[in-house]
Amino acid sequence: MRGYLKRIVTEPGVDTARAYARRVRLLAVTYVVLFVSSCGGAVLLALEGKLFVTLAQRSNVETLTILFLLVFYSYLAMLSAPGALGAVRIAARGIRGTQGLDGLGPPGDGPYAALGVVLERSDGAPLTFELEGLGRLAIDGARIAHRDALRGGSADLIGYFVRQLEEITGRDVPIVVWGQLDDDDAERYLAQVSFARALQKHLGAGPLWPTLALNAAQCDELSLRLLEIGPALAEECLLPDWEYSAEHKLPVIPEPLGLVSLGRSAKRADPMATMGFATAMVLLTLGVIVLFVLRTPWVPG
Amino acid sequence: MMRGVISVLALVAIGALFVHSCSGPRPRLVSAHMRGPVASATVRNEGPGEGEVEVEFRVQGRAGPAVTKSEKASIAPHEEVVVESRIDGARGDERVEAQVVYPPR
Repeated sequence: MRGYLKRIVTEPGVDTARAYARRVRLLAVTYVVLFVSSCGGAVLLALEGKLFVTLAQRSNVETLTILFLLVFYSYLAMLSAPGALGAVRIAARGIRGTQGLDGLGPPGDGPYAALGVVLERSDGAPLTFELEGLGRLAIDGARIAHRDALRGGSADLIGYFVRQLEEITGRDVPIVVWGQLDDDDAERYLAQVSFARALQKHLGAGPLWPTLALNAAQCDELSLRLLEIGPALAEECLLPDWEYSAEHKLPVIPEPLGLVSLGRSAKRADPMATMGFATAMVLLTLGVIVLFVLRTPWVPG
Repeated sequence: MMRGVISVLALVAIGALFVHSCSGPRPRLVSAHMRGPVASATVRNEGPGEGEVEVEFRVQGRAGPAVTKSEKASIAPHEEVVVESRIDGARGDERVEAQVVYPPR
């Protein structure tokens, strides 16, 4: 189940460079569909408002539901508008064959995460991976950060790097905290790691914190795999990186009693998962609305 | 993939069931005219559902303001019904406009 959640919700498209590129393209399409369907839903509700108010009044459904749907569609349209614009720019890049990334603003600090193990090079050199004009992936102990990133960078890049690292080294390297989502927790954890490393240095002892040392060949292989996703990463820069946590709840005995409810949460939900789910919900509700317009349901006389 | 296809099929089946079992009527106004002091409208249900429809009459004489009146009628699937409403003081030469509304307001 954990693997399933990771593949679908937390880190989709991190297994291979091809999967990464597919995820970026799919995300771009998702933004367009979400934007268009949200706008369509809001317009349809406005145009057929009289019908829906009558239906709501006649069928004991709260009329406020219509307003809720209008707000829901408007919010999602606003959220997806930059993504839809980015998708258009990606398509334009594809048609024109240009590689430029103009108008994305100056590079800045991107997302960061805390790893369950300390990463270091066996030769003691700093552990940094250049991303060819898209910033660099800097690792300091258990902190992994996308530096000099364009337009906020990519959290999924970190997921991709860690997945490739696991594959190359054969070791499990869990991402324990995502800095964008819980920076207090991340800084607290990373401070503990720093303390352990300082203590280790002071005592002249072996690693006090779980540590993974990478040799030069492993670092070169990681660099190559990062370069493979360069074009996809450039396209991803044109899309917004909406980071959320996800929670799934199933009330077995619902409110107001609320005695039993089942829940599962993921600390990070990839935009592909969140926007994909939002799109599915918008399409589902839009489908019902269109059905109501085309085939008005029976209501009591 | 298979699960996704099954989910979509389930949704389509639910939609089809809804359309089949929960559809209301799809009324269409066939004609409207005055028959003496009575405004008369013929309404045909072009849908497979049943329900109550509302016919709104608007009777305009040669002079004076228009008279509006509405009547409700139950209509069965694919049925054609005549809905009538008596207009007090009408002579039969007035111009009548009718509109069918579903669901009734």
